[in-house]
Amino acid sequence: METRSKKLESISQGLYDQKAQAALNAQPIRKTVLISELKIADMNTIEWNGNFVKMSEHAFNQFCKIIGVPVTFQRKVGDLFDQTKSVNFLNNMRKAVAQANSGQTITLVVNRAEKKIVGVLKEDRQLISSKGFLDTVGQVVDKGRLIVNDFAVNDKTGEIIINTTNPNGLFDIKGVKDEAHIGGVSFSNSMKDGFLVTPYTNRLVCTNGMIVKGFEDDDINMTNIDQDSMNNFWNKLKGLMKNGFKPSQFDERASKAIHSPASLDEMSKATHSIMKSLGKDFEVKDIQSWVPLQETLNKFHAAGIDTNAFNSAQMKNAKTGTSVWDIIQSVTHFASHDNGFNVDDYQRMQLQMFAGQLFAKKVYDMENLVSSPFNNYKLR
Amino acid sequence: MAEDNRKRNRSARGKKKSRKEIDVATELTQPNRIVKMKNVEFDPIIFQPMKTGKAIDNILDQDGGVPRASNYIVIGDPGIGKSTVTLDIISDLAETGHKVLFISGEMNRIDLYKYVQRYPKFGDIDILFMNEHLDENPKLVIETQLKEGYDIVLGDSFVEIQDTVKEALFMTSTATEKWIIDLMISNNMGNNNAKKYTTFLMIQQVTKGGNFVGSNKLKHNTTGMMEMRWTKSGEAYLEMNKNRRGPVNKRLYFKLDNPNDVFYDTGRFLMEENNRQMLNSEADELKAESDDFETMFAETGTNKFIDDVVTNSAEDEMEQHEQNLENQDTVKEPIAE
Repeated sequence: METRSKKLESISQGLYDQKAQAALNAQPIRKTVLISELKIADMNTIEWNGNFVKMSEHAFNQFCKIIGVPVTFQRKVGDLFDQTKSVNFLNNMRKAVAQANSGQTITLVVNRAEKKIVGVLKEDRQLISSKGFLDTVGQVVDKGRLIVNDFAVNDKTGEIIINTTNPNGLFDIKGVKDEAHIGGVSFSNSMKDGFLVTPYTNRLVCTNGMIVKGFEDDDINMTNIDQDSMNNFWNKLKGLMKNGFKPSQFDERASKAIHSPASLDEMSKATHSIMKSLGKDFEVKDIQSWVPLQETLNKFHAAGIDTNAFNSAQMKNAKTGTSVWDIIQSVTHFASHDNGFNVDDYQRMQLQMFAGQLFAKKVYDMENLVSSPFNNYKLR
Repeated sequence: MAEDNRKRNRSARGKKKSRKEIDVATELTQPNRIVKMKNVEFDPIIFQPMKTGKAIDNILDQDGGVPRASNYIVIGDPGIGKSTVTLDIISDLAETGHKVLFISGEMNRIDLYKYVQRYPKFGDIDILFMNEHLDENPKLVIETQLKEGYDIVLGDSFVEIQDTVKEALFMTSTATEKWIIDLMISNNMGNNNAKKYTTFLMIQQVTKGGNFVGSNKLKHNTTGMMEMRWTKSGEAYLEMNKNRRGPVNKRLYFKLDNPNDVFYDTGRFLMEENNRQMLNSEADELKAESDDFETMFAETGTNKFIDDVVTNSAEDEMEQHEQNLENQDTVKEPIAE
């Protein structure tokens, strides 16, 4: 399959402006209301000020969680009672919460196009506006002399992801030859994580980008918009800049990933993350040249092992012939190049994030495998 | 006897009343002065702040620097560095050619000598030690000194200077305070030999709770009030809680660790300033979105989904039931006779 290498360069100002405008257009509406002002009308509608507003299932679940009804319990209530009684129960819970704390507020996040609530945020969590996000990213890019490599917007949720690199942030992996990387940061703004800054690395040999999310020391998260949170955000960012944007545990994890075989579970998840970005017209064999899942399964089957019968623990214990590092590079390569699949920018960056999460995984499934004189020993 | 006493009391009351009548003027000695500001002219130098070259300039005046012809009260937590910071301000101004004076009501030469070991630049400041003029009329001492004309005068502390004058001349607190305020205002207007539009920095003591102890008159006659406080984590900062010439409530963090200079955390100040702008912008965005929300659902909400909505009769029933229970509780029981 033909692949066109995407050079590590800044996106054009025109494209940046176009994406920024798309981000501003997709910015959801935030409305802070008192819990006591709301009333559940049915399982996907709330009443506010005499108006009925539709909610997504996700938003409804978030609201129920805030009033002390977790999703599982809410489902049980739904199974036991008819809708009227369920709604009645939820409204009584809402009333109890509102009475216990009369000033308690929540923020409704509304998709402008659908005129629908797509998220509900607790009082202590705020979503920064797309404008505020873009302004701040602009400042960091200027101060850190970064270049913007990627910019993606999710039109439905308003989520934004921007990947940047520091042209002077070249680093290698200790003890490993031919592994040069460039450090940078990835910025994202979403209802789930708020304003999140994570290290971003780009492997120079094939310009594979990876969003390294999950190293506790490096992730900078701002879910509140106040002076203290912002100070904390900037101070942590300065620390990351000082380190040349290199993730703090990069060498150690890279070395482990290079020397750990991937489990069948890790390989399957990588395959599925790519498949998810492709749509229904493609099959696992189409991405064989990136992640060799099909070939691996064939080998298991040829050895008389039925992988279909594996439970999740067995999937994690099934060793493959590919290292975790190669799996990560396969995903990042797929995510960073135009492979003819027409994957949109947002999905590509989700893949880079998946790869980063796999990289930052605390323990790879096969990481602690040791040699043993009993490897071929058969139990009675 | 009782009759005599009553007569005496009546006579005393009569005397008091008549004295009051004499003291209060019943006619104006000159007509009221009504001012049109467009006709008022000032020496332009009054509006050129004095630059220290440090971040403190951003706190006091919107044009940057220490405003001329103004009066500032400085209060703060004990030991935070009120004297050090203010001495640092006037030292920096002295270095840039301004004429400065420190009126020390509390520290003597020995105290200041120790200070100068740590901050050698304080050694160049003109100091008037009030405790070295105890045999003189302190009012005259201060008036004579100020007559020379200074760009900036630091008083440490207002209360101590006030008490020195009050005790030496048997004046009331109110009268002494009025005298100091009038003197400050007169010098603000350039009424001195050098025609300097003097600015006063007056350190003021605080209550145990950390509050300002001066009168409202003093508060109202100041251009601004600077507060120095500790954060819970032990960081020192200063901010203006009143300022006619510049910003209020902007924290400037400082440290006294460096020899010879107060260190102001300019980076943090600028960062917080930047954050503040973003917070304001975010507040505007939220307001606009809130309006959008109301418009969107006021227009489309009520009738659009009303047919989909389940009538919540069960809840109404529950409310009715609760109401009935409440009514039952309030039914009066027959009173036993």
